[in-house]
Amino acid sequence: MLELKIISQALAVGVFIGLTYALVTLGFSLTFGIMRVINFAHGAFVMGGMYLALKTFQDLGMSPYFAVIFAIPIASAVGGAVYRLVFVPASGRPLETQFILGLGLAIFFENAALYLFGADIVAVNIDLSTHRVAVADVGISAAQLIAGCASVFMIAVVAFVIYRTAFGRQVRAVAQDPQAAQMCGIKVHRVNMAAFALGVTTAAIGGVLLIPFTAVSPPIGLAFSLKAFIVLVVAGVGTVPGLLVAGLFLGITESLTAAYLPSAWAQVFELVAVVLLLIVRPQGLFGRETW
Amino acid sequence: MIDKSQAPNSRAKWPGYLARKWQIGVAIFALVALPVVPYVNDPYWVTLISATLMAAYLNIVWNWAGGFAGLLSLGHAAFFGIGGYTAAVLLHQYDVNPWLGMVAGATVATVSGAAVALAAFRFKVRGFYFALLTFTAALVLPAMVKTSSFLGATEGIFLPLKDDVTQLQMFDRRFFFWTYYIMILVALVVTVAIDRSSLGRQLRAVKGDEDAAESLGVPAARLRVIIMSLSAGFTGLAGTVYTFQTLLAHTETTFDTGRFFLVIISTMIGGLGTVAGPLIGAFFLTGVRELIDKVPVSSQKAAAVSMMVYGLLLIGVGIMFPRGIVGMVEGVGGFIGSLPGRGRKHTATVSAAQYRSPIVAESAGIGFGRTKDDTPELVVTGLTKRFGGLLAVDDVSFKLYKGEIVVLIGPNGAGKSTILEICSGFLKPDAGVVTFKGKKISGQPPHKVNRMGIGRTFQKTRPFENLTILENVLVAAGLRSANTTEATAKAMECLRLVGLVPQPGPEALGSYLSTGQRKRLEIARVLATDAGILLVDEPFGGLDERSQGPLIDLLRYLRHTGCGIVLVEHKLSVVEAVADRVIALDSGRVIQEGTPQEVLQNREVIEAYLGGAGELVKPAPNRH
Amino acid sequence: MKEENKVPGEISRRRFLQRSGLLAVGLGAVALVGCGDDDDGEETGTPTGTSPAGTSTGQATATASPRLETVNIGLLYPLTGVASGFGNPIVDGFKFAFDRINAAGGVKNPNGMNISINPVLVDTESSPDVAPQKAEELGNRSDILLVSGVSQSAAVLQVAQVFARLNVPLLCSVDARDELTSSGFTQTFRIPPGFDTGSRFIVRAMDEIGTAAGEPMTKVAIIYHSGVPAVGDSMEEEATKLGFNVAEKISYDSQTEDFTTMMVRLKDTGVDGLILNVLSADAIKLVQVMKQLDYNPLGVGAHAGGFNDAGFVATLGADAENMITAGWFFTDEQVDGADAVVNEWKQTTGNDIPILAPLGISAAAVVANALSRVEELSREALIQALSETDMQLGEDDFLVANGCKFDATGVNTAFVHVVGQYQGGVGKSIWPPDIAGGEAVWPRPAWS
Repeated sequence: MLELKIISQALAVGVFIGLTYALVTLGFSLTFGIMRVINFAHGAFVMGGMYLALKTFQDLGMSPYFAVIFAIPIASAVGGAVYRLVFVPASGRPLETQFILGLGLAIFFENAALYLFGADIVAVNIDLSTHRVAVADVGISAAQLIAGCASVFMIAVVAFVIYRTAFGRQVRAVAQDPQAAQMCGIKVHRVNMAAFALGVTTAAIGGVLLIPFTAVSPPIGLAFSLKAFIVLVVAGVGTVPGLLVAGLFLGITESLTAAYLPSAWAQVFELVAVVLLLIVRPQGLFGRETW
Repeated sequence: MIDKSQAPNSRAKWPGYLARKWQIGVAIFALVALPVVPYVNDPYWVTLISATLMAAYLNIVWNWAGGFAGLLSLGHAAFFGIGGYTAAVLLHQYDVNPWLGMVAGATVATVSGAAVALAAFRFKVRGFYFALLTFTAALVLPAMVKTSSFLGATEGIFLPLKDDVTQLQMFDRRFFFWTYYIMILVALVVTVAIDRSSLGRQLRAVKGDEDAAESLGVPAARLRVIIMSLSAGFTGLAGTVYTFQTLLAHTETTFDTGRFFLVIISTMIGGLGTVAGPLIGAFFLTGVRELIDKVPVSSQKAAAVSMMVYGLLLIGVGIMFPRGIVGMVEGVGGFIGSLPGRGRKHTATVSAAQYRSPIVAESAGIGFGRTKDDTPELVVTGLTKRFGGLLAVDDVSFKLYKGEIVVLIGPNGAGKSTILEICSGFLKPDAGVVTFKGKKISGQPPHKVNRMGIGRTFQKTRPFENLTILENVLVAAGLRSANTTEATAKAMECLRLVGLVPQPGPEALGSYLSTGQRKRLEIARVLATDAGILLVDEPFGGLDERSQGPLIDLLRYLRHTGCGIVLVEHKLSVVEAVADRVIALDSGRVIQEGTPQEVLQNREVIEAYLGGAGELVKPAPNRH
Repeated sequence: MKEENKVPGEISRRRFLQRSGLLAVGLGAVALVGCGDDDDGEETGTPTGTSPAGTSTGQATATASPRLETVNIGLLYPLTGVASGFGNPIVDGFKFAFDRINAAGGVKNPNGMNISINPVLVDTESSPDVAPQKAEELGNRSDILLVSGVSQSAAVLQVAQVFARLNVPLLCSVDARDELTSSGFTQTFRIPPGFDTGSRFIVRAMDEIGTAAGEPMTKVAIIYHSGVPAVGDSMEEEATKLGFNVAEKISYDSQTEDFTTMMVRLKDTGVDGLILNVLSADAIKLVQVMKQLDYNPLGVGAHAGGFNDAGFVATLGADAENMITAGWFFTDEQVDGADAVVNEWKQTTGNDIPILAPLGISAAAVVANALSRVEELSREALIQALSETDMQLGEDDFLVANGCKFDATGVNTAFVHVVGQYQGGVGKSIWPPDIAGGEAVWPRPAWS
């Protein structure tokens, strides 16, 4: 009886945390699928969103969720600028170069955050953080519920944009063949910049959603990049269902192992699964290589 | 079908010819100058330079895999850690002497490298996915170590401090300076050896275009396993030394992936796939770090700013030096060389006066000395290939005799190229058999098919863009020659046959050739494989009338030497000029076979092939 | 007005302890002069040779004109990266203490020296790879007399072996791994001892507090970060020895994203005491989950780690109330001179003193104390002086309980963790009774 309760509890938490992983990975997957850039700085944008929400709460005294209003313009601008200043000059460069750029950006943003916000590890503790939403014996915090649902919503919005709008068609065209797209009159860099900014914005919104139950500090960016990396490899590029499934895989693995084993094992399981998957099915469970 | 082989943006356009003398000069100068350091009576410098030497060493050995072979391994931290942990565990648990531990560590790392490479190649994990796989491997090992108390779990294994050279450590830090110095010496010698040997050329060919390399008989998978295990073993060696330098085997230090991020970064800064680049890159990065560190930090904010500057520097370097410092220096050199008055020719083609007719070349010993024979060489029986629902090749059978040119014609999608792909080993047939001299070749890997005597060219030319013209041919010639002199002579002769002259300098890189030159280069390359049968896919595509004559001559000459040729061609003038027999295909089936006259006048053929289009020369169809 | 009262008082106390034979009348005069000097020093950073400090030393010793010496002390701490939250407040504590010492004319040494102390900050970047590298650089600088560091467990051993080899005195200001003691480094000194000793205090404190309140814990769970298994082992051993039923001993990894399942299980199995060693981010999460589940153990106490972090109480606010933490110094402690330090910190920085800063201040006090006893300014002499350290709590601004006296292995035998509890948003000391300024709230009231 207790066992059942523990397992269902672990599943509930794993599902909702996993959904936020999917959201955090969305932008990472967009950037990779469209521009072929492994952006190790992606997690830094999640961290940025978290600090934005923290400041909204601390300095403006508003609910951290209001930070979404600031996150959208700020993240878009930062994303656009980063793309224009860093990735445009480096476009067409090999994988290794993109790798350096991502790492350089990650180091820059981490220390910019250290400069601006200090090293303290802080979060936002609001009523929703500790309010339990339960069905029978199984429950999660309201903040986790909001984060999970909002993640699904955000992913759906982005999927709609990519698959159902004119802009999305351009994005997919660029992802498949930038040269052909250019010949069709698509402004490749502009489309890329918009897609990059979209990715950064989703990351920042992810950060806003996470802050009520996850503490932020400057080095946390790389941890998120790593999670996004794992989710992306499991999911494959260019797949929305894959992102969700892979996010859930990661979330549930973590919560189940944490319930039963010293949680260092969670990482072993995840990574071994990733290695096996890379060998057997390198394009990921659902991947198609491009968006 | 998903093509796992194409790494995004990884098409290397960087010169592979960079193994220039000045680079070796730089390396030698550095190695002569460095021993001064221990006699500068400042332990700080000894320490700093020792650390830089270790970084340079790691760069050099990583570059074998990452630079020469194009294996972007993000997982060398795993090999470093395996080496370090092996020696530490042996000492800690079994009291094994660290020097033995060092050998053991390097050995285990070598085996691990081979295992990773084998697994990757067995399952065709290439390019970008190889980077992901190795990176994950580098993460999973420390995660596993953390769960094992035998391996020190999260606390690591702390080794005792001793002033004892037999324990691989001395209080005098010059000990580590000299250890790394010797290691670098060895690594550089190996690098130059690889770079100069045909192994290096083959590795670069594999990096440039794996399929093309395999088509010339290069055993790509085996080469990659060899280079990966070599690189891993040398990395593991450094891991053991470092562990005894710091006296701690710990998941956060011994398995630190960050160290290898810096290795990749500084190798790139120096110049990927070059001899001196890794060395230069390591010293450059140390210099940058020293400059930043020289500004004393008075607070956390100052420290943060210095790290921000560091991040920006990485970005700046990544953007500004795409080919690294070595590439930049080469670029400047190339620019000066191209200035007016320096008189360097930019053409790779011989003038008409210099062009020797292929027939003349026969006396030079190229060629095959084969005579016409009545037993068929290549026998294709009941070949069938499906792509999903599409029947690309449907029960095709034909024979090819020695000294015969058979031309496959047919509309787009008739299955011509697919047949060539199967005969050369790049595709496996769903049914049917291809034999060559009685031996089954269908289902064999491309490099083995080539070794058996079947050469091919590609419809869309695939020269190794990172190699010079001569090196392109040497890849093939080197595999079949006793020494470099012989290989070079042979390569030069093959080039002369097709009317190309190798030139020094970046203008001679494969990437700088025109379409016609690329086609000729491919033929020269395949000639150098001594293939008895050539599978030639639309060699006349994109050639103007003037260039067709010599090529027709060449094909006739090859036939004369006894070579059997399967030609896919659209131009009827060419077909009529060279074909002994013509096989017409439509929708994967043979509709007519016979002499050119018979086939070209056949109603069915005209209907299928010429009727609708009304054009003789069609735009290049897709390969599949 | 307030400030004027405090600063002279503090300085007079320090001099009093250094030179116990001084007359009370002279003391007042020196204190006033010293105050003026103090203000100058704040601006210039180091005192000038002609400062009034010379006069004060003239009174203290027979030497006619003491030489003014400056020594460099290396501070090897993580200023950036994951551990920077630990490194920075400690370094700030050092800088604060050195500024105060220098402003008062430096350390007065009876061998005719006034020694001002110059901190040399070196950032380990929180990287166990960078740390030994930087240690090597520092240790090879002949002008560096002593180094204090490092707050990361993976780095501390590597760093310690570097300094042992170079025979540079290393002063550890914060809890570190136990192997440091067993490795026999004679120049390594640790103010808080290893995890083995240190992590037992919280268990003992919670036992005594519960018993005193008449409602002792019975069934406890120990949750500790996987990076420090020794902490978990010592806690379990101590808890068993004290007669607790240790229901679970859980090692968790920093990858753990959620504690809900773990807490559901502990609540259901009736665990009534939580003994923790958790990282900062996890400390916040853990408390949030407890409140979400309305889980009310009698006491929740942590050994160092995240419960001491500035972000813990800043984030949780009222939810951090009544959480117990083993720390080093709490502002309400009954320690001589502590108020002066706390107030001056507030005055110069505008912020409350961070929990970790007194570690830096106390280590700086040990350095100054040793410098006041050295025969000459050499590493060997300083090692000798350090090994003879015998400081009382409060002496020379040494704020970490319960004084400082190193044994042959360099471990501070006088050490006691002070255990505090968040009351009214501030950490209040509640144990041990002879130092504690406040009363424990036990059992902690249920979540409302």
